[in-house]
Amino acid sequence: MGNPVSKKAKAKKVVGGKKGKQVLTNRKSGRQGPLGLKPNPPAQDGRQGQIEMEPPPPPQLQEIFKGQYLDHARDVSYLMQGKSGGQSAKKWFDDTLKGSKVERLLKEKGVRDIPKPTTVQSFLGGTFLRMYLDGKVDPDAVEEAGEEIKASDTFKDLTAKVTKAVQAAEDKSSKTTLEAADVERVTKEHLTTLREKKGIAFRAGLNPVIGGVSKVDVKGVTALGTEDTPTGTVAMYRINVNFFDTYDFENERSGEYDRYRKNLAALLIANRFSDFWNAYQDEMLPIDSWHKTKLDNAAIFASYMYALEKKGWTPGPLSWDVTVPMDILVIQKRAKAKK
Amino acid sequence: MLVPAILIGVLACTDKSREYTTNVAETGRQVLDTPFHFLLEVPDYIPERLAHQSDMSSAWGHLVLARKTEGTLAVAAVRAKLIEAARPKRWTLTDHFEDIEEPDLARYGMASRPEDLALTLSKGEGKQGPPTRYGCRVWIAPDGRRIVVAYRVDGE
Repeated sequence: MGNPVSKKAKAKKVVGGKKGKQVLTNRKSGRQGPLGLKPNPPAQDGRQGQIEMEPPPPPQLQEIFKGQYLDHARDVSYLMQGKSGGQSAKKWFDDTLKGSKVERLLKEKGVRDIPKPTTVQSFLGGTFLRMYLDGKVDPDAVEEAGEEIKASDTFKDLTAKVTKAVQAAEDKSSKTTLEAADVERVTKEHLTTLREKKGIAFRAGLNPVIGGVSKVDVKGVTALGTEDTPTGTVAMYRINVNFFDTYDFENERSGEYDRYRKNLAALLIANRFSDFWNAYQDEMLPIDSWHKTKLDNAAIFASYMYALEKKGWTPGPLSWDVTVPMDILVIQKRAKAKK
Repeated sequence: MLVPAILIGVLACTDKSREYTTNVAETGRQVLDTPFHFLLEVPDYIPERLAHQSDMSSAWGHLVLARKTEGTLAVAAVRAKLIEAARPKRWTLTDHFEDIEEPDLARYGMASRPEDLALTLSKGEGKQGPPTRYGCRVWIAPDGRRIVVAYRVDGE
């Protein structure tokens, strides 16, 4: 199976053509532009660089292209899960080796440096891509994302910060104990300010799933009770932290990556399906001499998805949110005068 | 046959960064987002090594700059040069970044320590969705002969 463009579409090639009309070529003929494309003639008003529209193919043919391109995106989503599985296995191996006799022996012999353990991309990366392609939030996927978020270093760090903020409020308060509503208010203020000033982001393996959070909220706090300890009475609270995100491929970028993805999008919008596919495939295939850019495959695939989104062939940005329970302990350091 | 080959290309994409040690300045101009280009133009320093990686929404890596001329330069002086290069491009000083990993400083003869400089830039505020965040953590060799930069861009 070659280019998903049908034979009928391939045969539709205007040779010569009227003055100023863009000729559809394959990558082996004609003068090549920087991205393997025939450069456009200047537009009548002197503007450079605009890709001339081809007339849209018949609706049935357009549906075939759309289906093929979206199927490819879906195939890649499954590959992402496969890669994540492989990374998990490698990480297990590296973690097992770390600190072991075998590692010490290898180092002593100077055989090799033990490589830094691989970052494992979340298994959900592929799942979330399919969720986006379906245009529908998958509650099971979101629940799994919540579990991964809860286990992440970023969430543990947020828990520590919230604990500190609530403890400070407790220390200042004249109440015997903070009420759940007080904890909710303090937590919401703290997390909102943190997100606005520095951002809240789940990086490393969770980056393809959630990355930077667009909004944070608190969906209720439950006081779990108190316990007497040698250092004082400890009050326990469960805070339901709500993280919001939007999954899409639109963002502000620059440089070669931005130029490449905008060109892909322009080709697809102009119905130049052959040129679009060639420009994508040439960068994606592991044949260095075909590459016109130095972009790696993740950036190239993200550009491909950007183009599909701009063409309106995906359902578009998908907003989703997840609630993650955060348990904190607050010390009531001294007896307070009752109100 | 070509579609499965593309999928092989996707699989072939490793999780290691791509390293460049020749024509680093030119490669940097291609590979790096425009806001990072000031690092390629620090007076008296040339880009020596670039290790770059990305996923679908972010890109990150390390850039090493080497002093062109003989002699040493104090860390404070090098820091001032970098700030002078960054400020016109709207970068601002910031605290430590948690999600920009420290590179292997020992490789460049430096001990692991807090960075000498951290810079940040945001673009796209006011547009729908979070802004794109750019960040750099910079370590300067005590003799000023090398600068190691860990950078990151996150477009959410």
